[in-house]
Amino acid sequence: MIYQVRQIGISTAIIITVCLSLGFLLGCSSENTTSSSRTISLVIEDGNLEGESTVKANQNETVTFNIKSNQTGTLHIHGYDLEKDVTANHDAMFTMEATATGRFMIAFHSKPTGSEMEHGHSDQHHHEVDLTSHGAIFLSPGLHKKDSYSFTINEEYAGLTIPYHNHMDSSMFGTITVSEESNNGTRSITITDNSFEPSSISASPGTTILWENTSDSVVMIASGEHSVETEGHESHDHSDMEELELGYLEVAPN
Amino acid sequence: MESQKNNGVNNLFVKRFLLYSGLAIWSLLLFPSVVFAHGFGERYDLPIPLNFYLFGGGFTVFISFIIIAAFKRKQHPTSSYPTYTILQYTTSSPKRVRKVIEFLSLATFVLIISTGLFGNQNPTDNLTPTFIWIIWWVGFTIFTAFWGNLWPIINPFAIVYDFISSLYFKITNEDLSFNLPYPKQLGIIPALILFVIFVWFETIYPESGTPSHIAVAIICYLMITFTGMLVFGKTCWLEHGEVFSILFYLLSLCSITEIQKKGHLCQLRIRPLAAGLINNQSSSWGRVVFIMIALGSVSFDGFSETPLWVDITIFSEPFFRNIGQFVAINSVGLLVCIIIFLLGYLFFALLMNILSGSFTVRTKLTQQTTYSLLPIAVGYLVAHYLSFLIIQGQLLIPLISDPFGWEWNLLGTGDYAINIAIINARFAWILSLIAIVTGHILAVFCSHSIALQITSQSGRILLSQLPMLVLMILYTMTSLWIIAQPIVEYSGT
Repeated sequence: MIYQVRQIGISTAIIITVCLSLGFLLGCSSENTTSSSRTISLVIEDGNLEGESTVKANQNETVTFNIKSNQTGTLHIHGYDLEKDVTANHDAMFTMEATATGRFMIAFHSKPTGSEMEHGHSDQHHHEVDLTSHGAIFLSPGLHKKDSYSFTINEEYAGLTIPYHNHMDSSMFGTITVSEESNNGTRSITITDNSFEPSSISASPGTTILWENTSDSVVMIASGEHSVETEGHESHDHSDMEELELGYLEVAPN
Repeated sequence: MESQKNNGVNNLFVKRFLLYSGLAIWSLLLFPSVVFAHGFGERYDLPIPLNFYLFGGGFTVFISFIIIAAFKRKQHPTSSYPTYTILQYTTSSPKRVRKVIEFLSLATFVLIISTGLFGNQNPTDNLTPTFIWIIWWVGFTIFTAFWGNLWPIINPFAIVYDFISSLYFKITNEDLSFNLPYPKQLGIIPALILFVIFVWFETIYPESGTPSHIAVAIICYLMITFTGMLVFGKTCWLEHGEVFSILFYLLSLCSITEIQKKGHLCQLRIRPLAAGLINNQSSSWGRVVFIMIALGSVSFDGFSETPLWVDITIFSEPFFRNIGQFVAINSVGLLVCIIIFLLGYLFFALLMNILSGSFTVRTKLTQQTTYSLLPIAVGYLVAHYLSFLIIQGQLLIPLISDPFGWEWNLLGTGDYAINIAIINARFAWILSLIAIVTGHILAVFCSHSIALQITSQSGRILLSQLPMLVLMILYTMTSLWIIAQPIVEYSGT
């Protein structure tokens, strides 16, 4: 009987805890449904990250990483299990949707020095125009419906064909064939639900290409071929590589 | 007459043979092959933010005094609590059910050892590490603390012994065990030693995620348990040497169910959370140490992942350079942590004794009050491991289709990828906070009730509870502090 009286005291205390906590929860949470984007640059020197080792983002943001490393290797975001190959002294870029909250390790798997030498060599003729690397020539931010993005072709692409794709949907791709002689002007490309219209276009150095998104989904236009590496990876066969811990990506809840 | 005597000698020989062959296999197993392990059981928890931490801390102190105030008005000791019977059965009826459960448990046990020994040695591709560390060690522990103790029914070590001893009995019509008298002064010392070894293996041993190492450790423990039961008898060893029987029993005191035996009738009852801690009559110094090992090691497990510990590790590296520094520093840390918990508890218990006005140390009060710290430990366990359990526990889904990591797909779930977005950080923070604060409330409540039961002068009792209250607030704050730290893993390179 006595116990029961005391029991009520305890129950009240627990109820207070729960109520206060719920109030706390409601007070803190803000209904933020509009997705925004964020760009984070990672400068890697000899397998170490320059500046802050913890980079921050908010849930549901589109996060674009600009990566610069003086070593060749693979950048790996744990948890999300995303990977991006990085060539030494070459800008690389990749984008992810920060859907899950948490603290995820960013690691760098550096390739053995042998292959780095090789890469350094081939760098020479690669350096001028990198057509196939993901986002090496242009990369748009996330384009919502009615957003547009433009890119002006300069002289160095004369006579080349630039492949590009929608980073959000690997089945959407297109090409820009650049002629030798210059010609200013604008060519428009319409983005529909599942393709670029027209998907192959011819242009000249000086021409501005204008993409306009008419689809309902968010689109990101990136030069190069869609890299399979940025998709979820099943295997973890990095036994020949050294894993270096760079830092952490913290995705905070909304 | 003659032949019977001979038979007895033969049986003794068989027992000795079992014992020595066990010891031989044992020594062989002490040299397992070294296999490369790659990060297992990674955690993605976000530390609780500062405002949650401050709120939790402030609320803990606030609620402690509310409970004290509530106690001030009622000064009568009591040992009864409301219960509700949900199931009634006779002791003989669930035998068949029990046989099925025992069979399933044994089958799982054999499977876990087989996958560990013969399966793919990548920790995430093999069922053994996920099953042992995530499902059993974290999941089953939390289950036991909330719902009750199933270990006596599913304990595979006891089932193996029962199986062999019943076979032996059928053949020779004799009890397998030597049934030597157990030296009572030892208490639960064998279990304490094994428990320290276990927590060392779990938190520090660098290969604790490697399937074959886990399997070998289980076999070693099976050998020890079997030997213990062979020498002293099954029940005796379960009480004094089987770590998990003691651990899960203690944890189940927090749970909301209890089984009451009335003659041949058994009742499964629901009771208030942590009520079992108050009403417990048995206590010993062994149990005090046991609980402190549990508390100390669980806290160390969290503490060893904080940036502070990484700094300490780096700082103390020069002193340990020559003796496997990483393992050495962590082992020292674990030991120090357990000793701090034990001495800390004894110090506050001494204060409690002094303030209660007795000139002699009240052994029973000191021993039983230890139980009241268990709810904080359970609360912390939930706060610290919940996201881990929910996220990494999903590994079980692909692994039941491919337990050996041989790319089987038995149930069609082999391709399941973990959903890391299944639990939102904010939800996890709130749940962690509720778990820790509720644990604290129950702890303060229990220690008061225990004190009221053992001594009767309530004025003194309230005063004597102040040191315990301080200790509990310290412990809760430490737990909160740990979950407010970002988890970092220092590889020692």
